[in-house]
Amino acid sequence: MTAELLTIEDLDLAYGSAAILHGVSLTVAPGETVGLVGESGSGKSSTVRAALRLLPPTAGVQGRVRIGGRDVFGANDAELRRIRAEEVGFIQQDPRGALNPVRRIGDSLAERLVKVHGMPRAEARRIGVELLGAVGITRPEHRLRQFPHELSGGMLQRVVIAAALTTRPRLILADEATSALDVTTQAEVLAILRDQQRERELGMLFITHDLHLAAAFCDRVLVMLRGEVVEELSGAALFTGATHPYTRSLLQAAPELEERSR
Amino acid sequence: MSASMSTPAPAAPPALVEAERLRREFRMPKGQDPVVAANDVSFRIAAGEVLGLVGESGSGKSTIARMLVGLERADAGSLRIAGADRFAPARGQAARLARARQAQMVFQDPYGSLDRRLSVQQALVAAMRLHGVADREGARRRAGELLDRVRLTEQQGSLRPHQLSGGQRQRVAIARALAVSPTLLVLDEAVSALDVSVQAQILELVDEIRREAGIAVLFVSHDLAVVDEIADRVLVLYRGDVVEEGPAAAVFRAPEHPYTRLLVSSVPGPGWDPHEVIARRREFDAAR
Amino acid sequence: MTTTATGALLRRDGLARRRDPLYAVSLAFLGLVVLVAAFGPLVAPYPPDAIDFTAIWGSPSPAHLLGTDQLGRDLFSRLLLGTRESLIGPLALLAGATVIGVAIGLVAAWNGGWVDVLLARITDVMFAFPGLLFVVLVIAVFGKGPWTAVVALALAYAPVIAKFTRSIALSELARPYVDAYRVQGASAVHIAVRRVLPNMTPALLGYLVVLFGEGLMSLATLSYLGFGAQPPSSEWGLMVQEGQDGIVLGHFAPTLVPGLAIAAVVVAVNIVGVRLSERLGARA
Repeated sequence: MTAELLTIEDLDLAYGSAAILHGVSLTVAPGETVGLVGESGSGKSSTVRAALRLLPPTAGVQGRVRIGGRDVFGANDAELRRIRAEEVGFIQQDPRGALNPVRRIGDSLAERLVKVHGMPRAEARRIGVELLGAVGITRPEHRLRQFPHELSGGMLQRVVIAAALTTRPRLILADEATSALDVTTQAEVLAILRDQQRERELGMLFITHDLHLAAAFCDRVLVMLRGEVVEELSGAALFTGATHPYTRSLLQAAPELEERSR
Repeated sequence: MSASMSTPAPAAPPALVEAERLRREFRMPKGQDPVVAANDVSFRIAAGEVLGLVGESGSGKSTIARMLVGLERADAGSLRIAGADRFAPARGQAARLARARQAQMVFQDPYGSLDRRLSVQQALVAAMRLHGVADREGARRRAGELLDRVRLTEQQGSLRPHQLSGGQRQRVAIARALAVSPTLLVLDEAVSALDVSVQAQILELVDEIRREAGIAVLFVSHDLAVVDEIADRVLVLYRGDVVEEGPAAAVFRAPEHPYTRLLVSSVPGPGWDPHEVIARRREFDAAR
Repeated sequence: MTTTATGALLRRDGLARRRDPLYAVSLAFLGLVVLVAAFGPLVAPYPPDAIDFTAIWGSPSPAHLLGTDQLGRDLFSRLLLGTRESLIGPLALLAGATVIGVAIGLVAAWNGGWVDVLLARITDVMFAFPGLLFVVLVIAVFGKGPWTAVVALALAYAPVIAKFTRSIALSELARPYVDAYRVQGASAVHIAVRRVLPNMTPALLGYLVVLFGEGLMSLATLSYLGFGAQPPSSEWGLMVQEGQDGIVLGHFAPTLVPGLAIAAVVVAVNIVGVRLSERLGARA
């Protein structure tokens, strides 16, 4: 087998008799961006959460998930923590929810390195400064001493990306990572993600409700409907090659700026 | 004047909404410069017209929207709706209600903008009874009509907000706004939290309402594509300044101001490249 | 999440709640206490002040189920008859404190400005100044008696309720539905009293129920100290005080019986209060 960073096979998820996911399969290879699109409740986020075993114990999950070659569902608690800490960077929609509001940015950044990897504080700090610089934050030494409320949403999302990269994961899971940002800020954040991806050969699973964004940013796009993947297309062909009626109705509903000047 | 684009007759009737040089500054904590949310903003909206207000967060869109419905004061400028001065102090219940009938608002958050204790029907009846619909029976009948108008069933009318989806809640919010028969409807990011298919339905509904009832609409959104769908004319706001104004088609197809161009090119679509956007942003920032 | 998943979770929650024996027992006990407060006088075998010098410090017996006190009065009858006074006091004090506190808290949250600043100062002082000492001061000025104690405690509790009301009102007022009512043209009083307050009641009610237990304790304490109910009342706190002479003589029942009654009611009220606010909060 090739070294897929993420392999999900036949993932089922149910709460009691209520089925949330049914037979979801997908792979993410190094350097690849895979989009996951669909409306709310289609199971995009549940797929990621189930794959990371982030769901409550009442969730009935079946299937096989491998991250970086390691079996997620067969892992014990210690192994699971290691997989999450070493292999995966998780970026969510709300950066304010991802950062502890009463801790300085620097402490949030260094936390995983110090706690999980036992790295000395000074070393963790150096990496923090380096990463903040890499995600386009000016005066990183100064930012390390600031609190989340002192930064704008776009800045914070960059911090979250930097935090996700601290442990040098090879797989990035981005769940509506730029949905709360303005279009220009979104472009900046995505440019940073793409640069990092190229530099580190990262694989990325990119969840979004924005079909135009998925088409423009992703190599492959998977369309989800009621817990199932109904269609898979290349990003470039999303708007022209869709055959599934649901995908077509989604595409039609998506408002767009036509014939724009570029 | 670009307002003439949407009104075919050369002798255009006086605009329903007349905003002249609206200004609003927010003081910031300790030593920081005040933020100018509205810097001499002027615009008109005719009856039955949809004016789009676009810009990034912090551009002042919401401040202007809230000024129109009386939730925010202006430091300077004048605002008239149907000839009535919105900034003259309103004393007493009758004046307040009259003002409410001039402008109503649909908010962004479909979860928080409805009173969670009231069923849809109760919320509509409460609004009408506040506005002097005396008999309960008449109010109920009219509530039924409103539900019908926003395409909710009678059964959905008996539900409370937490039992409804986001799109259904925004329909309720629209029905509640219409309950007092306003002349202007302000939608502040009202479809931003909705799925695209639901978004399309709500946009269609708003379009119907303005055509049938001749209501003027101020449509505030950061989403250019959505505004392009619904608005006749567009105002582009950058840090409190109106940098461009004109028919939606013209503004989005052939933007003149560098900021509008930056915004338009930032929207993901065929050929979109984030690095190109950053380059434009730098160019724009450097030019200012 | 999808609605079906949440639905399933809620149903599970509901099951868990129904199987909450502590809540059921507490609720049943409080129901019994209320019945006793209402009908106790009809059931009591003796008048509460019937002195019997032949039966001083009597042990429990068929004639006196819980024994007798230093004047030979039947403890069981006194306990039953004291229930009403012991419960009405805290209820009245809570009612008074709630009306004042909620009004001030709402106004402070709505207006901000000087009302808010004043409330903050008053509550700061009240938190720094022992409540009981304040009450004793009021009693020193207005004379002792059960109603002075109730009024004084109501005044002492009002700022606490005001502060709590203010904090939940602030988060409630920040919700956009309040703006929607303002845009509708509703008056401030209408929005605050008719719309916002009912949405706050679940949180408020849970807090007040817990405060009831505290109020009962405080009033009993005052009576014990001699500032509240006066003899020959059989208010529970006073009963504890009157019975304590017996402890040195080895007669524990006269203090233990009313003491346990106080403790049991307070604990039950707290359990019910916490569960109640959780339940109402979950429904909203």
